[in-house]
Amino acid sequence: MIDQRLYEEFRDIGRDIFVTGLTSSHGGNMSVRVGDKIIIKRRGAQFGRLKHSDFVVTNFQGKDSGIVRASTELIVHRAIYEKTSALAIVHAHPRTAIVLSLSRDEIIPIDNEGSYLLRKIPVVTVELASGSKEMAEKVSEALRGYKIIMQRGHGCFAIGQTLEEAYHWVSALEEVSDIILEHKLLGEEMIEYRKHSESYAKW
Amino acid sequence: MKVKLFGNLRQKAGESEFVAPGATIREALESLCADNEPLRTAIFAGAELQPHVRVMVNGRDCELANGLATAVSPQDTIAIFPPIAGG
Amino acid sequence: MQGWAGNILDINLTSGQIETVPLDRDMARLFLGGRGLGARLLWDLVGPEVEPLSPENVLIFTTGPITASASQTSNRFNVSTKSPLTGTILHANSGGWWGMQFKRTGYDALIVRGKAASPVMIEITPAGVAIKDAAHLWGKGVFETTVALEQNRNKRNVLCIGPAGENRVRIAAIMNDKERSLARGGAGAVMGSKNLKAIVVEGLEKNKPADPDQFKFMLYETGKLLKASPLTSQALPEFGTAVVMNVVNEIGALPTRNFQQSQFEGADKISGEEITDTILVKNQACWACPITCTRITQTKSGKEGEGPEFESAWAFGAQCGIDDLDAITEANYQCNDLGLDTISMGNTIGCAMELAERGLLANDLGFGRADRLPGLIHDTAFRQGIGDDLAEGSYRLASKHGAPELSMSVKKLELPAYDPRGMQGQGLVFATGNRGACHETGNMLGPEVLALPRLIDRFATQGKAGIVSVHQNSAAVIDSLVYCKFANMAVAEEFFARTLTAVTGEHFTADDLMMVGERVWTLERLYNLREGFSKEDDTLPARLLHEPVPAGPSEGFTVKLAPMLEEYYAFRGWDKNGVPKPEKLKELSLEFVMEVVHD
Repeated sequence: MIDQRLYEEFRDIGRDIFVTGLTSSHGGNMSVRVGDKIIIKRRGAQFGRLKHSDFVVTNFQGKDSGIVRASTELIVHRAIYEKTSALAIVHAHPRTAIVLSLSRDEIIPIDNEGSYLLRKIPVVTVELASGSKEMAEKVSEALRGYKIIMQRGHGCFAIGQTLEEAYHWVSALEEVSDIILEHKLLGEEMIEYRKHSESYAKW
Repeated sequence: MKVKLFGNLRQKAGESEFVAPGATIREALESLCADNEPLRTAIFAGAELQPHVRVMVNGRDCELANGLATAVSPQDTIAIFPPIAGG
Repeated sequence: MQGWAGNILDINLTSGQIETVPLDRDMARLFLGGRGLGARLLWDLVGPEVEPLSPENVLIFTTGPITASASQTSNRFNVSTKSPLTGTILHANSGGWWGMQFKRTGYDALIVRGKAASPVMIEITPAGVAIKDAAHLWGKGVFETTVALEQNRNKRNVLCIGPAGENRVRIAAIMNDKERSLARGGAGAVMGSKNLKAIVVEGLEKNKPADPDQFKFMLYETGKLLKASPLTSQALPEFGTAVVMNVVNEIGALPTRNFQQSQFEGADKISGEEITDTILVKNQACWACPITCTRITQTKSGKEGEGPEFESAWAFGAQCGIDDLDAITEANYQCNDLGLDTISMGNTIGCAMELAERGLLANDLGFGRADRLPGLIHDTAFRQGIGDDLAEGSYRLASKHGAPELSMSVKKLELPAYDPRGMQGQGLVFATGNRGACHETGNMLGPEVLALPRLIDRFATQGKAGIVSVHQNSAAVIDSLVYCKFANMAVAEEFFARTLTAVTGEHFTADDLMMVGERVWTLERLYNLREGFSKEDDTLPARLLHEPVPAGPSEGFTVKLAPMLEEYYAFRGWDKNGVPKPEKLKELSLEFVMEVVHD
């Protein structure tokens, strides 16, 4: 059983992520780091309807009974906690961001809020896209320099000091992506309104 | 109940302490901002609190209770802080 | 220079020898500068056998790779030494102009060893480095000394001690640019024990970025954030740091009368709002800083000076049961002129007040006695009468009078303006602080009170360890770059990393920086372990662990330290005794300390 307050945080954010279309019913996962343990959503749990029993407490390293029920991407979460100062991770499948990731190596916001919050979201490619060592290494390495990254064709990983912070980056990313897509669909020339915008690519 | 204002909210309100009616924090704040647009925009962003504005009831941050819907009674003291920082 | 000057100035006051030694580039990459570099050098230079007030102790003044680059708040600097108050590693941090100017003399750091035969000063100018006679300055206050040495804001800057440092008062500060201070832990006493009165700097070199375009972009983006944040663009410039007096009081975490209560009825009278309404003349900025949080104030009697900051207003205010802002402000000016840490001074006076009221100290002192402040502060600086006891800090004072438990200190460093019974995470911060009870090394005011970045429950204990650790690491790297923590209220580490990259030409990510922070924190921990400190010292005053808060919003609470500490050691990869494990040391490239802690 996890702390009631923590459970409510997971539950509320999980619901918001599902309801706003940032993942499908059972996709994605979330975790937090407490002491030398990780609390992570279990494999097969519904993002939008999380119950107390949908969480697994597992060690930082090594095998324990927890990993059997934990998300398939536990290895990635562990690597992220090891390599960065993250205290919370949100992994979702935001659709428009995924579409954009198919044809570019970085997503660069064109809207004001997105530029301000994120500046640039790098895209990493991983061959074995679910729960592989390669994925753990590439994703965790990329998160040392950015608070949210995309894995091509798969989804985003966001980190923060709290679940809410990580969720904020995910939500912002999808807004950024929707605006880029719709601008492209509109097909009109952009009038640059931001000073030094050419530097965002070098972020 | 008693409503205390701090920081630059005091100039906007003209006073640092008020007595306001209301059964919830929202009601008390609404009554405070009733004829004071500058105060309203300092406290509210639409229907929610401006980011970094803290509202406490008897020293407990309302975010950890029920937010603006937190129930209050006449013996309670509400304190409103604008964005502040220090060390 | 691009980032690092590549030079360390090494002065031996015993022999008079002045040398320039190269800065080890690997060390620079791992520890950056400031507090980190200071800790690394101190590890090599000052071991457990060294008495803090002996000639064998050293003073290491350090800047960082971004110092003097003109990146916002790139004016700060650090001093590292062994503390005569606590016996732990000491780092202290100050703003103003001196750090920027020292960097412009072409050095990353200054090591001062030994002891001069008679009072001297060091002068570093384009003409060279000289040790000069300072007998004519010995005994003079900080203000007079600063003027006498021709302080000239952007061109020539004075760092000095006052009579408190000269008299080896254990809570003496080193002052710079008249009223900025390297305050905590008694670095002033170390400088006084070396017969070193002042260090004057005049420099011409510039810290030019390796990538000017990227640097310009970062300057712009950082400026945008500082302007957009109401904390850095409104709250701090308008009301100064004391603007938090009322909120800390409102939640019932403002220590009052030596931590006997956690709310002060006079809090509003000594708050940032009151300062702005009554005694503020104008605000002022340190070099290259848009935040402009310094208060220039004037009291009714016409005295003018800087401050008081939140901590100082609390220390002579709520801690002493005093609500007279004028008296508090003049006590602050007085400490600046004599060269004293206001937190330790006020806290220690509050301790003395309680001792007197309980009949343990033969004195008619008591809480609320604002009239006694000037005399007590003066006597402390000159070690006269009861001042000689106050000069030893609250722990030695209280012990001498039979009640060490009445000293509100950890590792003998006096607690600052937060009652951890009202902020559990802050209790963990104070208990695990490497220089003692310090709020600058991981202040939980943000998360537990101001919702920065997000609000966490201040009464909860589970989960605090992670946030405390991350904040401690962050503060450590900010102190090593050296940036001002107020910039961090609006600007995250990912910005500092990219600015650092633009200045030095070497690539750093946000987490490279957080790792530097963790490395510095861990090395400081190891230094203390080598000195003989242990998990027993990671504690809090008995009052905070066992006496529930009597009234107010935090009524009934004590600090539940044990479970937080256990989680903390686990989170940090330390064993159950709080000793960093071998794998952690390897991860942080700290193998060189291995045989000290693991046989």
